[in-house]
Order: sequence, then C-alpha cells, then structure tokens
Amino acid sequence: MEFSFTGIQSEFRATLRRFLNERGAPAAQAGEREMARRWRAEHWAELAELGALAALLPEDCDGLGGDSVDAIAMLDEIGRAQAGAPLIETAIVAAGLIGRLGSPAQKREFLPAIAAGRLKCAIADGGILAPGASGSSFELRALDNGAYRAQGRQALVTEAPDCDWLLVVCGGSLSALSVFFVKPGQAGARLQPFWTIDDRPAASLSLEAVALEAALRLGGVGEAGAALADVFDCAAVAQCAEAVGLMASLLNQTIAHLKTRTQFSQPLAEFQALQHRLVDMYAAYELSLSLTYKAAILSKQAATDDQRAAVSGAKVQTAEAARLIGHEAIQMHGAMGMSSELPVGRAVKRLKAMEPQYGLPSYHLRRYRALRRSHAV
Amino acid sequence: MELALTAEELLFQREVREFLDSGLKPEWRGVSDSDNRSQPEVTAQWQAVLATKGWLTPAWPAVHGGLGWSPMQHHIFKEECSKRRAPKLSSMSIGMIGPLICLYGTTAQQAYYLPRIISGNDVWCQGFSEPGSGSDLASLKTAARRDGDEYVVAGQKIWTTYAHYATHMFCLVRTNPLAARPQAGISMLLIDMKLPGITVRPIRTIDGEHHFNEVFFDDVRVPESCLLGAENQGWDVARSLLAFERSGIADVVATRQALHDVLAIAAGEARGNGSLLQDDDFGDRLARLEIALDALETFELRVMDAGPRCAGRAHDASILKILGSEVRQKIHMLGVEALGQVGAVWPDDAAPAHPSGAGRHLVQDALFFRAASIYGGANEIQRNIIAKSLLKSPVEI
Repeated sequence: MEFSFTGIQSEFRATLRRFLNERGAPAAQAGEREMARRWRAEHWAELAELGALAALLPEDCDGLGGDSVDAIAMLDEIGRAQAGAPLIETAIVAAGLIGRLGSPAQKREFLPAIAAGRLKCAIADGGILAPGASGSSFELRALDNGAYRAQGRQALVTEAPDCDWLLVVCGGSLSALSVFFVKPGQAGARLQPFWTIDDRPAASLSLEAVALEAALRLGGVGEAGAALADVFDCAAVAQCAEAVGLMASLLNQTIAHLKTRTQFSQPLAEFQALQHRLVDMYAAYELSLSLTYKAAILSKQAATDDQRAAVSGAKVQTAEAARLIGHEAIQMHGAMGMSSELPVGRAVKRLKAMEPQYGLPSYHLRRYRALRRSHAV
Repeated sequence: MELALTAEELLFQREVREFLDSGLKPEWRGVSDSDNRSQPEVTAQWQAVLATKGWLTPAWPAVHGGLGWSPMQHHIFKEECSKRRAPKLSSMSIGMIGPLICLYGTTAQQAYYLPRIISGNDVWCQGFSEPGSGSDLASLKTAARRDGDEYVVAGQKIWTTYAHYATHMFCLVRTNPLAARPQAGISMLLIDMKLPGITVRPIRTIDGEHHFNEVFFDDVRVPESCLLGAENQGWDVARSLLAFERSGIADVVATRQALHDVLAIAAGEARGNGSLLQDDDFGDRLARLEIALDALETFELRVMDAGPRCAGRAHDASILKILGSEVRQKIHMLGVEALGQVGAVWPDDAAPAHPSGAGRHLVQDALFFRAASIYGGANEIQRNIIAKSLLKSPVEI
C-alpha cells in the first residue's frame, strides 16, 4: 500500500505547476472571456509540448502510456491553477474512446494529432448520464442504402465552438450506443454558441439528418456502451482531481484571507466560529482527496464493481465537498467573495459547472447503492 | 500509488488469521462489541492467549516485549481482530500506561508494573477529568502534598471509565500550586486503588449502564516511588500519549460492522412493496454514510502510509477522531431510525425484541456513542487543534 506519487509523476506535476504559475491563467471576468479563450488556445500547444496531452495516450500512438494516477496528478494541478484547460474532453474522453473503439487507421489518424495539440474534441453525449439535460438525445437512423443519419439535439456541449471534431453519441440506452465523428460545420449540424458560468465556450447542438460516414464511426453500431461507460468513469476520476485541486486553491485563499483580514481589531483567524468551519472545509477536502486517490488506484486496472463503486463514491463525496467548501469560501471572504475580480467566485463556478458532468451526483449515488447492495445482505 | 498489500504483508495477514481462527474462542467473540457489555473475565482470558503468543504488546519498545511491527502490520492485526469481534483489551493498561511506564518509568517501576499489566493482574484506569476540569484539563485541582517520602492526595476525579474494575489509576495531580503556568505544576502518580481513603461511586449514563465513576481522594498516602517521570513534569508525560496512537483512532472496522447491522435491520423492515433498504430516501442516506466511511478508511490508510514522513501533520489524529466519532454516531442513529417504534423501547429483558435480533443493543449503543464526540478530547477541542495547525503553521494543502 502506497499513496505517494512516483518520482516521475511528482516531477511532471512540478513542471506543470511551474508552467501554469508562470503563464498565469488569466482572470476571465465578464468581458474578458475572449482573452481567456485566446490564452487557452495559445497555451494548448505548450501543454502539448509539456506532454500533458500525450500523457494518457497509448505509447504506439505518440503517447506516454500514462494511467489514471497520472491523470489525477495532472488534473489536480489544472484545478489548483484554475486553468480551466479542457484536457478531459480531448485527452481523456476522445482519446479514450478512440483508443478503445477505433480502428488501427483511426488511431493513427487521430491520436498523434491529439498528442501534438493539433486536434481538439468536444463530446456530444446526448445527455446519457444526465437526466437534467432537458430533452437531449441523438437518434441514429439507418437508410436503405446502409448509410446512417443522426437526428436530435443537446442543450449544452462544452467546448463545441472551439473544437475540431464533435464526438456524437447516438442512441438512448447504454446498451445501444454508437459514436461518430461529426465536423461542427457539417451540413445539418447547427451550433448556437454561448458561455457557461465558468467562462468556457459552449453551444447547443442540433443535428438535422446529418450524414454519418462509416469511416468516422468508432466501433460497431450500437456497440459503444461498455467503452463509453469505462471512459466516462476515467473522466469522472480526472474531474474529481480537478475539483480537489480547485478546493485546495479555495482553502489556501480562504486561509490567507482569514489571516490578513482584520475586523474588531483582530484577524478573522482569531474567531472560533470561523476556525471550526474552516476545519470542516478542510476535512471535506481530505476525504475527497482520499476517495479520488482510491478511485484512481483501482482504475489503473480493468473495471470491476469495486472500482465503479469507488468512482461513484468519489464523485458523490467531491460534489458535496465542493459545495461546502465553495459556499463557505465565499461567505468567509465576505462581500469580497462576491466580487468577480477575485478568483474565489470563479473557482466556485467552475466546481458547479463540473458537477453534472460524467454522471450527476444523484446518478452516482444510485449506482454506488446498486453496486454495494448487489452482494451484501 | 497502490492499494494492494505486499507479499510480506499478505503472509503476515495469513499468520494473524490462522492464529485468530485457532486462538480466539467462538464464545468470546462479540462480548465487547459495544463498551456497555464489557465482560472483564472474558477479556482477561483473551489477554492471556495473546500474552502467550507474544502479541499482547506489539507497540511497546522491543526491550519490554514490543515486536517492532510496521504501521501496516499493526493495522492488519487490529483489522483482523475487529472483524472477528475479538474482545477489546483495556486501552488504558495496554495502550496508555504500559507505554508510558516503558518511556518514563524507573527500572524498579518497569520491573514491578509491566509484568502485572501483561499478566492481567493489574487493570488501570485514567484519572484525568475533574468536576471543574474537562476540556480545560490543566486547571485540575486534585492536590498532592509532599509529606516525607509520601504524597498526600486530596481531591476528586470524575467520568473515570471502569474505575470499578481497575486495580490502579494513573492520575494527574497538582504538586505545585504556585507554578507560573498551570501545566507546570502537574505530576503523574501511579495509585493503587486499594489504598485507604479512596472511594469509587458509580455514575449511571443515559444508556442505563455503569461505565463512569466519581473517585474521591480523602488524604490518600501514596509512596513517592509511585511518581511517574519527574515531579511537575506530569503534563508532558500525559501529552506524549498523543504520539502513541495514530492508527485505529477512527475505529473504521467497528463502524463498518455497525453499518452492516443497520443494513440487516433495514433489509428486514417492510416498506411498501419492498424493504426499508430499498426505500429511496433511507437507502440514499445510508449510502452517503457508507461513502463517508469509505473516504475515512482511505484517509486513515493515507495517514498510516505517511507515518514516518508526517512532520507538521500532527492534526491528522484530530481529523480521524472527529470524523470517526461523527460518522459512527450518524450510523447508529440511522440504525435506531430503522428500528421504527422498537427504537423507543428500553432494551431490558421484558421488552419486545426487534425481529431481526440485530437491534437489541443498538439503542443503547446509539445512546452510549454520544460520548464518542466528548471523550478523548472533545471534538470542539480537536477542531481548535486543527485550526491552530491550519492558521498558525504552514500546512501544505
């Protein structure tokens, strides 16, 4: 049993931390979103140079063959820096699906391009794990000539306006899902762009009889369910790590504020009412970090019931802790916590925006229950 | 990062399992599942089996019978004992005063007391709290006045757990009322409970049981050879106790057993077309607690793994104490809720038992474990300790 990162992992973390600190994620205040967007675009290539995009890809496709523990080491740093780099969509979900389902030709075409930072993806999953995705779904229609068309809409696809490819998941249930590459500009595909609360570009996507090329299908028709479930779990673990990083950042900001802000002639840190609440925030952070580690360690090997339960547990715990820590961080900063100029509010918004991704906490709670009760009692 | 045990640890685990399967008699299992059903005579027999094997005092220094186990070995041993519901040993004797005598005792004290602790001849209680000194322990007033080669002890201790079974008490007394700081005038005495002038009175607790006592000292004459450590250094002696126990504070295995009891009750309670366990609201709340327990378990393993390099993380023990007690209390209360109306029944022999059988002592446990957030340093004090660490020293988050 061992909970520390290897020397190489720690070194990589330190490099990434240095890079993110030096480049400084810009303050994406209202009106400066475009600046943040340009920053992310400019530094995508540098992230690729650092190996962040190749880290988790298979070695025979220009990747470094990293596992889920490498993933959390990276995403924790992305969270701490509040960088909001959309690594998960491209380097984990898209790359994971291509790796699991793609033909040798597809792997050769897409994976090295992802590793090099030349290709970004957005995931239009039809809201398969999010009942709150208001009427989202993509339907697969077979034509007489054997070709397929996609039909449907999704209310929210993050990173869609900035992606090179959309990965569209068609089908209603996990047992009958298919995945296709669709170009955002393809005939019949319509994007309506907007921003999410965490200042990321997003769009609603509607597909009207969009022609799907067989060469751009990942795996067999209706056969993508198992791969999607596994890859979404990897994404959920990585996202827990980003959330844990954000929580660490919020805790550090809050501690610094309590030590420096003076009221009634003493630092806020002297008030026991605040001290005890800070401790509860900190305990919630440690518990989230612990379950994120556990989920990542178990996810190094092939999926099992224990591993899935650990992923779901991490997602539930992290979502709860994120709310507690986020809301208390704003409260303890007082009115300053409401200002869009402070990073506190941005971290809280990022945490909220992540909450429903890769499975709502309520979905994961029920999945945890089902997995735990399948043998017990 | 890796969760799996090493080959050596697996071997050790097998050795522990084989020993427990043969050495731990079936009728001993579960006798001290909850503190309110302690059976000292069974505990003594189990202690003798462990002493014969040499596994009674693994955490003591090697010269006094310690085994030099790794933190993981201690964890494995405790976990396997807990899983088989082995009787709980006196933590005051084996876990607290034994190691303190090893550390601070004179050669004569070590030669006299340690074998008697190991043989089970002596059972110790802890004399710390007083009517006016709970969380503010350093304000304690029980006086020990020097008179020739004796101390004359006068005062009162309270909430003394199992003083009615104990043969000895390790007792904090005030030897210098004029010291500049209250902590500086305190000494630790090793007191024979049979000395004239000691009176033990029971305190009944809300679970209807007798765990706690008041202990009165009416000019009790204690030989000076019973002073542990130097005079007026008793506070430091007591504080060093904190360093011994880092694993097992959260008692995760016992809490998981409590959770399984709740699962069994809920599975047997009908609700609608299914069981209470399948009820959306109840099932979700139970699952949330199970997730909290999973998290606590992994956190405990992290603390253990960090052991040797945990400089600046003394507050981890406080986090384990807070979370361990709070999760356990919530699970017990959910168990009482699952019992439904039976949850309000006083569990004496005439009372209707819950059909599952599992619920019989659950109400008492739920009541008793309200104490878990008070004893061993109230959770409010633990929060003060952690806050101090977060706000006064650079903790890496």
